[in-house]
Amino acid sequence: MWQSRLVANVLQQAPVEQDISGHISGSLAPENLLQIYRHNYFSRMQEALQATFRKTEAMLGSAFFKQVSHDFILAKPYQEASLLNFGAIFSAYLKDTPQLSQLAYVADLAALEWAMEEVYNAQRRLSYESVRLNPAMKLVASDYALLDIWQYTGTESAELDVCHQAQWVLVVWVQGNIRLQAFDQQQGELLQAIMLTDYEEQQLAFSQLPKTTTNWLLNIGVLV
Amino acid sequence: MNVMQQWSGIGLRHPHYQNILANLPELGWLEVHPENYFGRGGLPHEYLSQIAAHYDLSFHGVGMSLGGDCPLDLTHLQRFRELMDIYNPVRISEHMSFSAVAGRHMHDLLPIPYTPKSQRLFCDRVQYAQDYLGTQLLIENPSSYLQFTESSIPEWEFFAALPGLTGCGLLLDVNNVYVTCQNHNYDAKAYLQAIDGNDVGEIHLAGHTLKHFAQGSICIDDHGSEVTPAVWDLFAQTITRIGPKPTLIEWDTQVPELSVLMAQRQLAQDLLEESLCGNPD
Repeated sequence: MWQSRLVANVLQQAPVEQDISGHISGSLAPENLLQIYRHNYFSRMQEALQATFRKTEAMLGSAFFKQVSHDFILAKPYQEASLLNFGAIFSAYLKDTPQLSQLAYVADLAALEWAMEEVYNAQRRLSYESVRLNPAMKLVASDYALLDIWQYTGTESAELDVCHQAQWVLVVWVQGNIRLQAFDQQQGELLQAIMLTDYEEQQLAFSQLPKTTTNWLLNIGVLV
Repeated sequence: MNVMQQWSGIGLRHPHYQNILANLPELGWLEVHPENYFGRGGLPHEYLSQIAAHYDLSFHGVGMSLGGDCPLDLTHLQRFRELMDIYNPVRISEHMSFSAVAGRHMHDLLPIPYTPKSQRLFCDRVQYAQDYLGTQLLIENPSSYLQFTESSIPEWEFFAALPGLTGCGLLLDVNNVYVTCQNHNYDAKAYLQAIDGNDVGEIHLAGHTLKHFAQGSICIDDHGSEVTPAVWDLFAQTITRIGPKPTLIEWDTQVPELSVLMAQRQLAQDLLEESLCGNPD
């Protein structure tokens, strides 16, 4: 129980509760001592988010990103010892952030960056008896021209002209690199439908594809 | 040809993957945080599997929360064990601290009080983890910025007693000893003297910084700079007494070029070899 109270006091900015301050001592006041742990915690978690969501941070600006990531860390306690899945729900959190309600593509940009993180860490088995879907692959849907937004963000280009046109972005591991590929609505929905089927259904679908389509899917890394 | 055993190692950090693989620098071993490899695939594993073909690995866990009062995370232990099966590390270590409470992991090494009750709890959890993993753990002494008023056992006594109580070994972090002793006005030499050299399986060295507040200064264990002269002195005295042990240069923030780490590692290696020459045992 005392550990929960200590952590609660590490997390909060308010004055240290009496029941904790009476139990800790050191060369500084209890509030200053806890501030060291508070700084360690938030900086470590914020750095982890920054490392994954570089474009999102560039889009939002460092100050706002720092604030929103701080709020996220407090509001959505992360429970795992590995940071591998930290950030999985950051896009959803941004989508629900009132200040970003007019900038829906920011959450989509974060979703794209998270998909890249997942593909980076995905298993990549490369020898199969037949062609099959690349296991290191994610598909992100957006109501905006998301790949254009991703390519623009963080560059010195002129002001972003957000195109309100549905786009699907494939994030796929191909030949040692993460590759991004845009699809229109129809292509994206088709690919998503294939991805949602089981292995046997996928094999059946692939066997019925024209050879040119199979070659194209192989070329862009959807099939391996 | 240098036939001296390479006792000293460095932490494996992702900016150095390619450099290490391309040049295969002379290193005794590499320290790995297993939590960074909890994913099932991807580049981290591709690099680590290649590197493991050339170097011994020491797994240094940071997330078991052995000093915690909520149940041990069995999913965490399970994944840890799976990684041990894959990479066959030569040593496994964890910390004398807690990291998690119900519903939140703090990703930090938070201090525990030193009482008979907390020692029993900590030892039970160390033994459980050792049984689950099927191997001995080395337990690392913490760096701390605060103490608990109810502590009734000096930290060095609490720490030194662990092998006898659990069968674990000790990971002696000399920088942590320095930082803790500076912050709490302990005698670092007396702390180190209390440790039985036979229990020490690994030594850590790292940099720290002094942070100033209106009320005074505090030593922060930030692993972001070179080992300080005071810590080198303590290290030299320690290995002169207990003999050479596998020694790690830790550098986790503002990670420098590999050459900087290798230069620090060489300093440690030189001292380890000197201690061997002066210690016929």
